[in-house]
Amino acid sequence: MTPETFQLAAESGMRCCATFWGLDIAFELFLAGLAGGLMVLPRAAQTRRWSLAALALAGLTLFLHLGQKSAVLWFYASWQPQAPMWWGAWLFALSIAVLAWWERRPNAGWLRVAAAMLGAGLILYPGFMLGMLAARPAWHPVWTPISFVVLSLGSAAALLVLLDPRFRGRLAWSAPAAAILAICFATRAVILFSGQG
Amino acid sequence: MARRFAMAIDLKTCVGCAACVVACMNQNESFGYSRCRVTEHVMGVYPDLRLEIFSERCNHCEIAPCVPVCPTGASHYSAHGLVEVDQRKCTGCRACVAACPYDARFPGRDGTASKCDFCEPLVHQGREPACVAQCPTRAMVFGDVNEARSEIRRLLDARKARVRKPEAGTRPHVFYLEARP
Repeated sequence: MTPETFQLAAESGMRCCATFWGLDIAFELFLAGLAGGLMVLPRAAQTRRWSLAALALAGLTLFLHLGQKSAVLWFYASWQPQAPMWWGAWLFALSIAVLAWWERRPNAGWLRVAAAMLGAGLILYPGFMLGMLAARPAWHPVWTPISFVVLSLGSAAALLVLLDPRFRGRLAWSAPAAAILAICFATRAVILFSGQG
Repeated sequence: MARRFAMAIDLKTCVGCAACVVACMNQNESFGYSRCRVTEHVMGVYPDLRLEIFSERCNHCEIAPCVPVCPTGASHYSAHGLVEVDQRKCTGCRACVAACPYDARFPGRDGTASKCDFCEPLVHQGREPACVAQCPTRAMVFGDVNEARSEIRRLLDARKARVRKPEAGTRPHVFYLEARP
């Protein structure tokens, strides 16, 4: 038994923002991880349009989430390397640019390397963004980044199976792959909500 | 020495009337969006129980977790050590809301991050923050802790004081003067 109890009895005035990042951010993090995973896995060249589409949708979701959309360019007009979200904003923009360029020059090997490096960043930054917040102990500084990396690679591998013509129409492969995609999204959402409220 | 503004709240004389909450909404013309709150906590183990009342707001921490996570630099320290938000640069991403261990930030009506600014416009005019001025029991004292002759410095030197969540290591600048010696 603890020697002292501390129980909230009443509250008035400023309300806690119970859910500051909702399902839209869970979806955005899922898409960013999926795109990042596709960019680092071996079949990145064949799936770069999927990566591009996922990133564009993730970027749009993030933009729509912002409370003051007119300030979005400050992400790129500021120097805030200590903020994971600043890295995320740059990773989004650079990844979209590199993927679009790679689409036009498919034989450029250095673009493949650049895409893989940016993909690794996209896989890593959301976990660090959450894990660095000491005020939210549910987002563990080590396990959150690790779980986000696993979920990103898992969702990308599942999408690769779904896209592979060898497995098309084979329910024994496509059904588990679709289930893994759904689980990766749901797990991200659970992790995101576990640190709030 | 540079000025360092802080607030001291006397737990002995604060009655939890929430006049500070009303004064805050009135000052900022934001009804329903007060930047401070009053919480009542039951402390101790039965039958040795006591009620403690806290008037809470942004602690203007010396090591504020909300400042480094801001991706645009909108959250920053002022020259007097206050934690301020540049509304022009704030995207409303809520990273600072997530980072604050005191739940002292929230999305404002305009979508940007909102929080207590110690009524900076009033302080610039040499006046007290609205909540301090309206406190009917004078439980709240505001001033420069680096000024040796200020009332807040005298109180902090004479009385035992604590801060909220010291384990967070943020060095808050809202102090609570103990009700018990």
